[in-house]
Amino acid sequence: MEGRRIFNPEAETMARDELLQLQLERLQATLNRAMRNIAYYRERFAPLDFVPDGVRSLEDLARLPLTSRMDMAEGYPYGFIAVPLREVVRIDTAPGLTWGPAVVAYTRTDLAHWAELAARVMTAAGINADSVVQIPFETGMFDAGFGFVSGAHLIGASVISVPGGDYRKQVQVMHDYRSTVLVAMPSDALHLAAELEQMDLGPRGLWLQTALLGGEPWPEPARAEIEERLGVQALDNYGVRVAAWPGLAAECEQRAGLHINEDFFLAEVVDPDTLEPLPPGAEGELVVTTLGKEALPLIRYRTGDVCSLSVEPCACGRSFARMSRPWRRTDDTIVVRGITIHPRAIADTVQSLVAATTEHEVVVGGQAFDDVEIRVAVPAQHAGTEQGLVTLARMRGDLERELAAALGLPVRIAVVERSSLTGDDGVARAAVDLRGGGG
Amino acid sequence: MLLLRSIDASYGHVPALRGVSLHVGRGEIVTLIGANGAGKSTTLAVVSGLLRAQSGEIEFEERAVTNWSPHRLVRAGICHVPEGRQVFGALTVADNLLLGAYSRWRGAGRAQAPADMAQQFERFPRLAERRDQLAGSLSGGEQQMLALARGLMSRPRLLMLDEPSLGLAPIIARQFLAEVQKLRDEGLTVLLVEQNARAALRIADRGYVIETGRIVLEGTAQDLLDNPEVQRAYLGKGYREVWE
Repeated sequence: MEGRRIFNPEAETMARDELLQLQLERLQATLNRAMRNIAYYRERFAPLDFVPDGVRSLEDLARLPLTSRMDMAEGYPYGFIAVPLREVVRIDTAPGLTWGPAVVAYTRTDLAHWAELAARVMTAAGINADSVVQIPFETGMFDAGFGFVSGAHLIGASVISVPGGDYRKQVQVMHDYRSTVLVAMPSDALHLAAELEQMDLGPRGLWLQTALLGGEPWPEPARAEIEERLGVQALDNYGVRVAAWPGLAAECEQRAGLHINEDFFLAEVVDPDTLEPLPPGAEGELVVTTLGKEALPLIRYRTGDVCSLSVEPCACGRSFARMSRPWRRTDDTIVVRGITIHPRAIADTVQSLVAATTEHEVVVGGQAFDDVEIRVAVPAQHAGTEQGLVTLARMRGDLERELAAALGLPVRIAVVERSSLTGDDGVARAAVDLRGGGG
Repeated sequence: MLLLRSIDASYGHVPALRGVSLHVGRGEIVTLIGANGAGKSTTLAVVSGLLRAQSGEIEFEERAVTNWSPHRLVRAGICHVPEGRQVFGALTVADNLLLGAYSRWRGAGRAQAPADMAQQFERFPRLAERRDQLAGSLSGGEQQMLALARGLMSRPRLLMLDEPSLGLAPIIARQFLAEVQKLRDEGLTVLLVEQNARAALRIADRGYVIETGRIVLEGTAQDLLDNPEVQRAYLGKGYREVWE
C-alpha cells in the first residue's frame, strides 16, 4: 500500500495554531449547546457559577469538573442526549456491569463524522480503495463494526462483513475471498492465527497484509506474535464507546504513538488522584471532550486509561498530538474484547451465589488472550465433603452462566484454595492480567 | 485570514457578544447566521472597528488588529458593506465609487481609481449605464450592487457583507449572491451575514450559528444545512407532530 496514508490532509496536517483556534471555537459552541440542552451539565456547573462564556482559552477547560462513566449511567437512558429524539438516527448501548448501561446516540451528521474518523483511522493503517477488508465484529447493542464498515465505504475499499466467533469460517472466508486487511480485536487475530495453523494454511496461504486491531490493550509482545503468525503489519487504534470507537486515535506507519483526531476531540491527561492536568510527556489518565458531536457531547470524560501525550512533530506529516498506547488502567478494571471488567462488581455476584465472605480474583489471558478465569476461594463448609463437591459444581455452573450473561463474555470459574489468591507480597489480588506477561 | 478569539462586546451595559470565536480562511465564504438581535451585525461591527471589543483578540493576516480604527482596518484590507446599503443618495454612482477608493487616495490609489472604477462597471454593467445617475434614485438591487462595488474599490482582501439580500426581490438576491460567489472564485475572502440562511449556506464553505451573542454551532455549510436545529430555527422546516 504505497503513497501518503492520510485520508484528510487538510484537516490532519493543519498547522497547530489553526488547530488550536478550531478547537477553541468548537469547544465554546459545544459548551453553549451542552449547557442549553443537557440538564446534567447545567446542574453540575451551577455550583461553580460557571457560564460557557467563561471559557476563553483551552486551558480554561480545566476549571470544569470531570464526567465519569457512572455519571452517564445515572443519566440512562436519554439524560445526556442534546437533541430531540427524532433527530437521533442511531442508538447504541455501552453495557456496564458495575454502573449500568449508557446510551450512545448519533444524528445524521454525527454518523457522517464517525465515518470520516473511521476512514482516517483505516487510511493511516494503509487501507485504500484496493483493499479487501474483513471485519468480523459481533453485532449487538454496540456495533463497533458499523463504524469500520462506514469508514471503509468512504475509502472505497471492498468490505467483507462476517459475524464474529466462528474462526474456522473466518479463515475460510479470508482465504477464499483474498482478504488483504483484517480489522478486529487482538484476541480475534490470535484465535485466527491458531485456526490458520490448525488448518495447515499458514500466513503464506493468505493474502493478508495488514491487521488493524483495537478494543482491548495489547502489548508489544502480542503485536510481535500476531505479526509473525499472521504475516501482517499490525497497527493499533483506540476509541471510547461513548465518544467514538473507532475514530478517536490511531497509529500511523511510524507506530510511535496514536494520533488523536484533535479537530473532533480535545484530549487532556490528568493526575488520577488529584485530577490536575499534566503536561505533555507525563503519564496520567486520558480525559476526552468531544468537539462537534451533536447528539452526545461529552465534557471532560474520564476514560480510565493511562497514557501520555506528545505534541512533537511526527514523520508522517500529521500535526495531531499522539497518545502513548494505553496499556494500564487507573483502577483494577481490565478490558477484554472491549468489555470493562470490574472485579469488585463481580464480587456481588460471587458472594450472592457462593457466600458473603467468599474471595475471588479475575485472571485474564491465561489460556488465550481473551480468556477470563474467575478464581473463587473454596468456602470452608464445602471443602472435603461429597455433598460439598456437588454444591461446588452447581455453584460453578451458576456462576459461569450469571457472569457470562452479565459481562457478555464467556468466563471460566476455577475453585481454588484461598492461599492461592494472594501475590508474592501476601496481599489478595483483585485482578491479574497475564497478557503483558504480568502476574 | 481572520481570527476572532473569545470576543466580548456590549452596547452600554447590554452584553451583545459573549466569548465569540470564529475564523475565516483565505478564499473562503463563511457565513454567520442567527435570529434578529443575535449578534451577527455586532460581530461585523467589532471586526471593522465600529464597535469596541471589551475583551478577546482579533487577528487579520496574522497581525493583531483588535480595536483598530475603522480607517486603519480598511487600509489593512478589510471592507465592511453595511446593512441597508447606505449609499450616498445625493451623489452619483461614479462619485460613490470614487469615495470607495478614498482610503487609497494617497499614493498609487488615486491613479489606479479610474481603472478600478472601469473594472466595477464591467462587473456591474447596470451601474455603468447609470454612472451619472444619483445613487438615491437607483432600485434596491442596484443600490446593493453599488454598495458592493464601492466596497471593492478599496481593494479589500476580506469583504464583510451585512444582510445584502435584505429588502431585495428573491431573484435579485440570488443574482447578488452569485456575484459574491464569483468574487470568491477570483480569490476574495468573504464573511457573510445574511438573513436568508438557506441562500447563504448554499454559497458558503462554512458557517457559524449565533444565538444571544454566543456561537452555538459551527460546521461546513452542508453540515449546517442538514442540521435539524438549523432547519427548524432558520430554514423554515416545521414538524407536524404534537410532541415536537
